[in-house]
Amino acid sequence: MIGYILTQEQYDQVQGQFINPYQFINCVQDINDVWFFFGNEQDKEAFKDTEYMWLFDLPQGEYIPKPSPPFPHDNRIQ
Amino acid sequence: MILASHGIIGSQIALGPVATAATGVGITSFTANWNTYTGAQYYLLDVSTSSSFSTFVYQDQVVLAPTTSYVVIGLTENTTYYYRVRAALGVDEDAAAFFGRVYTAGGALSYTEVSATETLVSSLKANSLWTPMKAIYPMVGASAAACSQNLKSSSFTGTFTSGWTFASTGVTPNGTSAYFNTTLVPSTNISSQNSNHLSFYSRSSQIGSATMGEMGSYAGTSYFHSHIRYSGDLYYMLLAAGSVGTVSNNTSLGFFNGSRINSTNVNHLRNGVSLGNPLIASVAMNSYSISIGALNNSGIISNYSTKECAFASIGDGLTDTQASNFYTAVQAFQTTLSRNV
Repeated sequence: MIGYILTQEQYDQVQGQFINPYQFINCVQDINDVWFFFGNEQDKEAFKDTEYMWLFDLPQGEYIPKPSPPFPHDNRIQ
Repeated sequence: MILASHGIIGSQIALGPVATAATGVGITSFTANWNTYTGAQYYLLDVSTSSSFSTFVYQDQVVLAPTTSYVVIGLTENTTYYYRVRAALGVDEDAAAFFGRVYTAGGALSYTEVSATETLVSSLKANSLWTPMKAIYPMVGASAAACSQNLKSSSFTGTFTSGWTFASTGVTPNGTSAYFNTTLVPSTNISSQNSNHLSFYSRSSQIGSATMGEMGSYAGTSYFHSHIRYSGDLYYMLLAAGSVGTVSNNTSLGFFNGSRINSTNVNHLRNGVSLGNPLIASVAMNSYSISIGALNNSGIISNYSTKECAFASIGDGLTDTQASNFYTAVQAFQTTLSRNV
């Protein structure tokens, strides 16, 4: 998956910031601890006229996720 | 030329609101106006080039009371337009309050969505399902403003991250960073560790990854979340759970509902039918807000999902009869919206 790459400073600036009362920015770290922002076309429309539109001008790169925490041990009912 | 016709009959009145002269007439737009009709919860506006309204430019455009005007756009110049207005009366007060929250937030609903929601509320109340609900997210309106609203009350208005797709069929997270924070905390907002439920209407057919969660939160071994998988895999709803019980499942499509009504078991239902009621002893509930589209793992969001959600709810435990009736009501809602699976 392709996402926008942020520096640590950029992440600190935007993480958790609201672009309207019902939407906020969430960035995630990839397997190499690089911060990524994901925004689709609807997000781009929602970000218009906000101070965070520059996120869509950031360089893009391939995102490889960290492994998610494992779920509890399966205990299948027979 | 803009011609306003008399308002026509509302559902419970003999006379409708009276449409008045248009204002702000431009080349391709005008503002339709009408008089306030006492008791109206919302108005339905029609615009046509036909005086008999045999065709529509706008049909059943919902305008929430007390607003009595609407800007009509996208018109053709040098064309005569007609408009008429109906008032909706007798709308359930909880449904009307929900519509108010949606519109106040900047969202909008189609008349089909409004009508389906009214019917849903009536069905839930008629089947003793309204009171057990803490939060109901019908995911209508195809916007963050609309989908973040809780049908049950003004509490637990959620917030979406970036990375969601909003459509008339529901909301879809991107599986990497998108989640919805319901702000509902199990230990604080759910009445009892021995009476609780989660529900999730999934419109996505996919073999779930072993690490994908649809909604919930957990901390250590205090689980309160759902996990829908299939294809030789398992489905579990861990509600106030300290251990794991799972059931076999062969599809990720449909209305998944986990319900606990005692300290010993969690009933796993799909489309109102129990797939199993495994032994899962209840424990003290965790104190992290329930997410949708991912899981809240002690404050860190993880286990991101890609399943399209067309309905979700959180509340007290449901009996088998209630769960069956719940499915019937939700499925009728989805069918009216042409998004049932």
